[in-house]
Amino acid sequence: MAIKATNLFRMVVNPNNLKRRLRKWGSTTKIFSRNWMGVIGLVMMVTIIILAIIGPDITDYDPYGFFTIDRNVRPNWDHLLGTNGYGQDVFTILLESLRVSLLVGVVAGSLTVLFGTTIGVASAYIGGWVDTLIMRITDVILVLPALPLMLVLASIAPLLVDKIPWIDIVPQWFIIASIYIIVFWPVSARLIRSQALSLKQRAFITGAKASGASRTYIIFKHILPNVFPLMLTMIITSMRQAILYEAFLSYLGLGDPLTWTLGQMLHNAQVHAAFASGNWWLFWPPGIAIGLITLSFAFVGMAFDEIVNPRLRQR
Amino acid sequence: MAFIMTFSPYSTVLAQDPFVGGTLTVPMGSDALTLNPFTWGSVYESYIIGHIYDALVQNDINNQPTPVLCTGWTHNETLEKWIFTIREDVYWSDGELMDIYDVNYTWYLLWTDPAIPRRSWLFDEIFDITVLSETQIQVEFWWGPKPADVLYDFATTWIVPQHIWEDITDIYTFANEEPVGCGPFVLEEWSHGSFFRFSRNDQYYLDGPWVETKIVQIIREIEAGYYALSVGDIELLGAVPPELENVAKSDPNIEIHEYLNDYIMYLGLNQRRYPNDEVNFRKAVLHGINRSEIMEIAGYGRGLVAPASMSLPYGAYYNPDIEQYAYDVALANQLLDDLGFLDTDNDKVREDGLGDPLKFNLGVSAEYQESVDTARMIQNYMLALNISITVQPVIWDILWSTVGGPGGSYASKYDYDWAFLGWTGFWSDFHPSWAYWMFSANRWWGSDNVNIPGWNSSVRWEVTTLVDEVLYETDEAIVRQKLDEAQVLIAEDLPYLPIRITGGVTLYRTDKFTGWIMGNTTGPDNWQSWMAVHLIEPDEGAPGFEIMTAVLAVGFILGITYFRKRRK
Amino acid sequence: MGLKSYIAKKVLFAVVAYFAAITVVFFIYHVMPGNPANIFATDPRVPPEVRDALLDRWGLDESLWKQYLIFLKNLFQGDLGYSFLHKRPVSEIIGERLPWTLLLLGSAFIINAVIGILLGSLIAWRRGSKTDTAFVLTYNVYNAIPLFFVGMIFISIFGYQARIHNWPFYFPFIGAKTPGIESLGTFRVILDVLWHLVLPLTVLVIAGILGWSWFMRGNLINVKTEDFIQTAKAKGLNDKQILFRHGFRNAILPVITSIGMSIGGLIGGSVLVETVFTYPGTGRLLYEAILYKDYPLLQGSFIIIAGLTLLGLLFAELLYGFVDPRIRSE
Repeated sequence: MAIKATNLFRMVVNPNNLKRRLRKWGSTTKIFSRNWMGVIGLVMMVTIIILAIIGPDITDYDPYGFFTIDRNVRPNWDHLLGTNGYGQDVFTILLESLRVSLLVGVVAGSLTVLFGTTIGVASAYIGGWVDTLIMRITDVILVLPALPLMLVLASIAPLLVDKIPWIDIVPQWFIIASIYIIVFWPVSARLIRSQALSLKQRAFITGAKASGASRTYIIFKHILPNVFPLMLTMIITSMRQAILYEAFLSYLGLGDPLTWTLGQMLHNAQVHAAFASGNWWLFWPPGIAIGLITLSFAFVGMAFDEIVNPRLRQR
Repeated sequence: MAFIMTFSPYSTVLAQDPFVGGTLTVPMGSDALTLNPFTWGSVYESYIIGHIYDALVQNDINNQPTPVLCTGWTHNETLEKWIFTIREDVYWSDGELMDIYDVNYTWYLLWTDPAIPRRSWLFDEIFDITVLSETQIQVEFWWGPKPADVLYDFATTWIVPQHIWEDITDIYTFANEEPVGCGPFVLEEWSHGSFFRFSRNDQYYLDGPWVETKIVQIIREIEAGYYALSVGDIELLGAVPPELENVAKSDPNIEIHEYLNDYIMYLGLNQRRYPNDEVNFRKAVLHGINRSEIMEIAGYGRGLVAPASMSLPYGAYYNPDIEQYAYDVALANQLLDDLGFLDTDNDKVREDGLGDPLKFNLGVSAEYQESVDTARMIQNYMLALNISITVQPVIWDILWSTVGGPGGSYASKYDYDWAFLGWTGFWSDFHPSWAYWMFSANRWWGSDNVNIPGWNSSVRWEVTTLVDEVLYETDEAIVRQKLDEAQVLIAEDLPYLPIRITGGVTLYRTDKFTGWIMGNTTGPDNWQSWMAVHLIEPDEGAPGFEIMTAVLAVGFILGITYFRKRRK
Repeated sequence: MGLKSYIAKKVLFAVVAYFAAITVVFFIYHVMPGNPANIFATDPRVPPEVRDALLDRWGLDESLWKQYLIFLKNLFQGDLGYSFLHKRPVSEIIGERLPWTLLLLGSAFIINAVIGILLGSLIAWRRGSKTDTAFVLTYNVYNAIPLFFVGMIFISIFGYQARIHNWPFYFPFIGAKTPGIESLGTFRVILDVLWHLVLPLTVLVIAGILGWSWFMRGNLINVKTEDFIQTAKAKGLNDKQILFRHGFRNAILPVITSIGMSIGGLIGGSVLVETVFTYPGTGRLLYEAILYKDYPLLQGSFIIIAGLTLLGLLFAELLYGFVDPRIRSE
């Protein structure tokens, strides 16, 4: 029995369901607040996001300008984090980088998991040769080690981009996000698929099937909501990893030289021999920023773990 | 901006010969992949090969030809026949004597195979090579090349031993792992990806080298290199960013040497497109760029502003009487107004004669931060002229293919507005044929196959005629006059918009070794320097590290015993 | 289904995946513009005709499919290709760098795995305690610092400050051995190699131990929540017995899989560490092959890396099949 689109919509956005979910939300927040790491993580994450949204406009400096005076100046009251080799204010640059890095991380991380989930659930549920084919494709990607593969893709991405004319509208940071998505979607696809497969065996599914429910109904009503918590945890981890990988690729010089990201700040610091010349304000701020971002994501992720798996909760 | 010119002539007589000894360690930024003198790829490879092989003539730091494997040369009046006399006391590193037949073999090999990558252009102009006697060989050209060309381009070809190379089946695929040469050093050990270890050629026929062992250590990371330099593990360090230069200033044992490269960064306006082909438009753009500021900021104050004739301003053939294109925004705007490029719709961007806005893409290599910075600065300057620029960093391979660089079979060849890149000045500081190489429409760089900026005005043909004549001209005075004329024409027509000549900085230590010879355009690690560098005091030998290993081992054992006890 | 068909199926899929992976790598490279002759591109002394002749000689002007077939044919004959730029067979180039990579990354791997697993288990058992929190903090912060800076910090302290201030011990930070050390005898050579190994190994080990512990801790925590652990506790087994007899064995399964996958990645090597310390390993070799577009070297390296990863994965899956009877009866 095919399900009409309107019915599908009503299924998901059902007022009864929503009420139920809101009630659950209350207990969820209670569990979350008991986990102090999660709270700290959330606070940090929110602070960082607010900083990113406000952006570099709070200072008077232009992160992309050029100045001859005040080069490599130590932090002082005029420049909270000092200046770099071009006289640009490091604090402003940090805020700009935060913005872009977070954007890349969030977009890449969520898209990877969303894409992977879709493929994973579809593959698990449709089964048969489709499943085998998809699994073989993920095998091929998983066989190639992630880092060299990302290096290869990052080095050829600009070349491919040039060949495709309409790609000008796509910002450069999205290209890096896409590289991450291409390399890591199989991981989430496999995990979700195994979860979906084990769900498939469970009693309530067989019961639903027996009562004549269609595949789509089962997917949307039963599988997806149960897969959702795992998906959420994976999104957090994926975002965190995406930020780290973006930093790594930009640091190697494979990123976009025209945009400031946290990795680009580190690359710049390395090119200007910041470590050996003692200009610590050029590399500690982005390094600590990356650390705090990943820390906050990790904490929030751990708290989510507890919500998802009730047995993990501390009593 | 001043550069230090430490210069002690090679032929200065020392009170006594410096004693032989010591290990000189120098760094190299990347690995040399092959030591084949006919097919080497990067400058790292030619650097290593230069230690092992010698040529008939060597250029010193002032680009004066010095006889090395030969004792002298003569030529006839029309410069077509050249006779070189070979030394008789040169030995290959495997003990064989180097003779005239080795020279003959090397030249013959290069003459008959035009596909060899590392082959002087003059080999195509050879009519005949004859061995006249056991010590003399004659080369006859179809026409008389200038002495500068023969000595710098032809006589500096490395000579290889016939008794080894004639057995090689395919020289293109020969890796030459154990090279046999007659140069100042002998390769003792090549640890791939790590280092090269040379020992001094004690049968060398000239005075020197004075170091017993030379190690070329590959150090990839400039900061690690700086640490190695500060503790004395290596004696010099090149390609140093200005921050490290500042740190080095406070170290009494490290000196700084600045020098210029034969590399000109230019802005290419694709003259296959309107309005780039308007000469006054190009002039306006050049007047609107503050080149000394670019040098200060993007180039860290190193190098020089490049003259409009694209020739090195410290060279013998440089003509200073050319238009200098000072930074003058008012003049630039005036020129644009005179062309009729006015801002008709008040959007702060001028429109050209056809009504299209002056909006251009500026392609630049993403791999060089300096280039990207320069491109952004140019974008900034163009705002004052109401010209809108979009900077497009692309991978060098794409940029090269797009602008028409050789080897690019790219679909979008010549599909660019503006591009910022660099090229060698073809050694215009001493080489009279430089203008021929750079601008003649008959040579591959200036030909329609490449011709990166798409220069196609009538001046191009005038200059081509002039420089072609210079190639075959033997009278030095006429050569200079024609080159002067050509430079004026080029500066007037601006095929390339020259921005700057790049410069470099090398740091070197002065506490262990002395005698470094360096010049305006070379760092301390050159052939002439190798013949002079020596220890200040005799070497006592490096301290062993047994002490620390012993300490470590003891500490380790103690640590384990301690933890074992804790576990129990 | 039985063990035999399980193995057979896994092997078949592995081989198919391998060939698909190699084909993908092959085509990616030949799609890019740029080629190994570009090393001559900026040299004004090499005219375009000579470059074209070189491409001809290297067989790069043939059609893509023809090149692919030649590539496959060579592969079947065990020939990994011939590097255009090094002018030596790819197997030789990789072969001389592989021992160093194995030395560095192999020892790092073993140390990381052993200490990491043990540490992870210990901390997982003490979940919620101060040790656990401290560990979580350390792991996340350290993970975020690029290995490059850690390396530079070590160089600065143990390589530079130590020499300047004449501490009783210091470590070299360039290369894998001192040039010319062979003349002093094998014992000194071994000492020298170990001496050069200390700094890069330390950098890798600290990151690695934290990573493995984190992974093991995560697994063990999940296993701990399972019912059978509660049963064991109810039965009166003490912590140690539960940890090693039940928890460990179950948590180790994903670890086996990840060991399998990381064997190939090991050869991909740590590009950063090898760059900072100029350690002549295969990671940096691969990175440079990418930069110089030395196709045969790239393809050869990927073939080896992918092959090893596959073998590792296969081995892990087979082990899994033996250890976990549930798999066999699927």
